[in-house]
Amino acid sequence: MKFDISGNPAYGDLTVALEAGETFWSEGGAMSRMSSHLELKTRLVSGLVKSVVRRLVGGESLLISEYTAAQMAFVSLTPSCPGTILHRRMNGDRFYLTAGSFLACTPNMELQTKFGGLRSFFSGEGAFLIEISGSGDLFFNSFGGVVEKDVNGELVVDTGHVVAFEPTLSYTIGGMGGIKQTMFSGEGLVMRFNGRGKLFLQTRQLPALAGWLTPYCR
Amino acid sequence: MNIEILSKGAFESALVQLEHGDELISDAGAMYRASANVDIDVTTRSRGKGGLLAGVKRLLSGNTFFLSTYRTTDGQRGEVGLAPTHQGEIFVIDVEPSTPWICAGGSFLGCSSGLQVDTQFQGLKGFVSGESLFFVEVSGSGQLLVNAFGRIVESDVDHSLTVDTGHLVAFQKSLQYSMTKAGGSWMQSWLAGEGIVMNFSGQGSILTQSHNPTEFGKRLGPLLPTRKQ
Amino acid sequence: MNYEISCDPTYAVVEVRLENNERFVAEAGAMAWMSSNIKTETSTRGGMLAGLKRKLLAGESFFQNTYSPEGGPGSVTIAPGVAGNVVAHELSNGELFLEKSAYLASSEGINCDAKFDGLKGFFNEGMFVLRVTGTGTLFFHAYGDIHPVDVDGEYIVDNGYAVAWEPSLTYRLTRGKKIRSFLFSDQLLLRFAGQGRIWLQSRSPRSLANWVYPFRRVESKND
Repeated sequence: MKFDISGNPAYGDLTVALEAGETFWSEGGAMSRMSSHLELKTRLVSGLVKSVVRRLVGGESLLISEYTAAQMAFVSLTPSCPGTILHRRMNGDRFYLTAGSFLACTPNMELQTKFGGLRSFFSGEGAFLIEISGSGDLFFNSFGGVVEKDVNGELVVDTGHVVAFEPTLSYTIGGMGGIKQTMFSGEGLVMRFNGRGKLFLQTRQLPALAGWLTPYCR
Repeated sequence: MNIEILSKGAFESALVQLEHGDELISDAGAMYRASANVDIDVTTRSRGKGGLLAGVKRLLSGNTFFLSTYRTTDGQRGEVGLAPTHQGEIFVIDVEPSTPWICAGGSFLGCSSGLQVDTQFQGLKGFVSGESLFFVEVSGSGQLLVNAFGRIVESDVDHSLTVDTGHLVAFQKSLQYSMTKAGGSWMQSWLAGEGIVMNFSGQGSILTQSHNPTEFGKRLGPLLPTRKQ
Repeated sequence: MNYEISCDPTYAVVEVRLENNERFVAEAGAMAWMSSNIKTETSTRGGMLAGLKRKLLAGESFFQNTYSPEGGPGSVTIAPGVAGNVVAHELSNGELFLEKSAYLASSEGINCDAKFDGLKGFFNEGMFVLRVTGTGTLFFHAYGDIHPVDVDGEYIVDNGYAVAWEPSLTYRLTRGKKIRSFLFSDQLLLRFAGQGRIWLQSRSPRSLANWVYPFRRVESKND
């Protein structure tokens, strides 16, 4: 498998070239163009993801598109919200992604959903974090620009702006300091990160876009 | 008539300089600025049947295809600025009489008056999202302005290429194509979230957009207030 | 205070670095990330009921939070909701009119008065205008790129594209000359006159709202 990412930082576009016999996974709906002979199948959630949770927060479903090349082929993939596409080489380690950030990976990595500590808040609507582990190539995306932080200490982040982070970071989730603050500050939930590790942040989030657009909706 | 593309990169828009006698046609409502001597007329060249009232209903449902025509009124030069709805790039296609283009309805921004715009109602409804695929045929001689959600990618087909319809901007009529559900069986592709794909064959150019506005709309829509039917 | 705008023009954010106890104001909900020593104050207008929250944040009112670091310097990064650029505009005992949804943040010393401009009617196109005064830095954003245009005489712009303008300009609503274009193109135009600067955005929020209409859920009897 060879890959190329073009269009960053605003309109990241991933193109993957597959050799005969190779397989590749992406989230559903990501395909823009592909070789006509490339086989595309859907894998249902329960087959791949070790979790009873079938949907992610925001309605994104954990359906994976599986591409199998009988002969050399290519496929171009983009996420539903334009932004930056990042690549991470996984070497048997773990990595955390938020809902909407997973774009694609080489097959046979393990994907597990996590509530991220807020089971009661999301009340069954879906999980909010994906834990990915294994070896291979992972492609994830931001909505908007991406800011990569090497956290060494503490950082407070609006949950919707989190893209991904290394498991060496610990975090707590909560409101902005009390019910009144959470309700009226307009800020959503925040994650307080602690420790040392990489944290990927995005400069836009869908709920904030919806908030901005709402007054213009009839 | 002279077209200048402004703001190269992220949010391109077109600034069209009109000489006396020039006429510019655009998607109604695409105009965002104009010199004071420009007159705007809207043609109810609505797609499909139903006349004016049906057209207004479609306006409210978000599916419109009204065209505006711009001319200068005082014999002087004028200018019209056209902006698409989405973030992304704009492209100018030089259309020749020998090669008409098929353009996705949402990608049509404007064109010079030497081009004929025919609403060709494809009418294929997607199963899950309810998207209606809607294309227009642009023929004649002149410049066609198209817009993309994201970046424009040019592909020269030489054999075959499969494109997700949500990513289609425009393609040359000389190409053959079939529409299928991605993945073959009906069930398969509904689950994958992929809508309809176009399998192109033959020779010709295709313009695609890097991102799919329908996928974006499906994520954004449910977060907004509910609507009355 | 010093600031840095990054990820421009498509997805601009502002990172503001504040001295100990220095105060900074931003639109409610715009904080993206900040150092852990930042204290947040919300302006609460009397007692509010839970159900009002969504309505209030839907743009029918104007809420700001104040951020200040404790025990040392700190930073706050502010992000708009929509794709587009951010402009930092210095005011020196000055005045600016700003479309309400374009307001992002401001330093202490800048005042915002919500003034409703009576351009109501016609497909609900009421324009909420803020009158911004004072001394300091104002941050505003737009859907798309932001172009300043120096008007000297007259200038027509579609109602949805003007984001900010100087008070030396007057403006009025107008429409395409033929009746049919008014009815069917949903196009209200603003005619600016005088001398002064206007800031235009290169995309229309109204256009985006119309486009997203079919993707919204249909109201059910239980709503």
